[in-house]
Amino acid sequence: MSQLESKSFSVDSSLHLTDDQFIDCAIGLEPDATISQHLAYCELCRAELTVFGSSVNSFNRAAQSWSESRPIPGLQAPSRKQRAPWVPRPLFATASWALAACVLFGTAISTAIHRHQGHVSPDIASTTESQEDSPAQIEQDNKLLMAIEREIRVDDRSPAQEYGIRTSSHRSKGRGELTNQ
Amino acid sequence: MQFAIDASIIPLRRQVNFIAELEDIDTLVKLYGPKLQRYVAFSLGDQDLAETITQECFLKAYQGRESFRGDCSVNTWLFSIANNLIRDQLRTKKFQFWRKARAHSIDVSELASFLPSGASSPETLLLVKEQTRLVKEALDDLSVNQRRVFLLKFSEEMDLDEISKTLGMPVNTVKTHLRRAVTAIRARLGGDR
Repeated sequence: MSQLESKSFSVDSSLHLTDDQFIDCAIGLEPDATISQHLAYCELCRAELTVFGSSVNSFNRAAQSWSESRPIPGLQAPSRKQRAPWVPRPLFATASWALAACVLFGTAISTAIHRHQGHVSPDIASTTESQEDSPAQIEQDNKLLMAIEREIRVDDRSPAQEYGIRTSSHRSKGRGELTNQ
Repeated sequence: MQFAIDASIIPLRRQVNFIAELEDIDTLVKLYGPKLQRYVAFSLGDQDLAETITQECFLKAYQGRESFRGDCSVNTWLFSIANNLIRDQLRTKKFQFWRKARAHSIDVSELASFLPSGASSPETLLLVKEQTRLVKEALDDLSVNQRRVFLLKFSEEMDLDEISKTLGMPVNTVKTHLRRAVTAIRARLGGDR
């Protein structure tokens, strides 16, 4: 609004719409007869209302275009995921049920077989376990291990010894130390 | 010939329509997504947050669609959900921090560039861009409540009762916020006396 118009407002402010009246018009409340009459002849008030309306409209259009240009991310995935539970999908549902039945049947059979075998085996298992843990068995195992070690010591000749090559004393000593251990 | 119409049938049919509308989330997003995002973005002044809240709003609406009784329009219902999410967001300290930083605020010049040029002359386009900028700047200076009321009134074209329902605010409070918002924007546009 120009300075000239502003001056005329300040001079004749009583002849124009009050702030409340302007707001009522701007927000679309039903204007009373006085306001309607005033707007019919007052170009300034009419123009001001028009500027207000067109500015807000411009803003709305720009904001709407801006919003339309921006995607709403990640809605596709969750929506499909959540739509699934009650949407009937015959083929998929049948296949799922068949698979589930097969798994259950397989589990039942293997459990039955295991139980049948398990009917005999617990005694054996406990016997084996008790034998393994007994001092006599440990002693026997140790003897066996020592015998194996002796055999290995005899057979474990180095390629140098095998082919009659002399080795350094340091090496022999090291080997001897290892053997004595 | 007269027909006796059972009044309960009509709301029931409306409810069925609403539920059908809510079932199709893709259409729902297409119909209301841009509007909701615009509203949230300019209410909070944060575009990234607006995307998150809009998305969450649709998910909440979809999850709670069976509780929707059709007392109001789907539009009002969605905006109520969005407002609850905005309110929750306003309470967080994180938001208060970002609001101070204004790191994700919507750029005015960017916004003005979204105005369709159409058949307008360059002068008219310049004027329109300037008006858009002034409204945006005035909005930024309003309180969140004033901004929300203003946007619901002028962008979403809701009446005062609808705004009152959507925001859970008494009508008189809505009017007060609206008056202050209009006064501020009018002042920014240079029309206050």
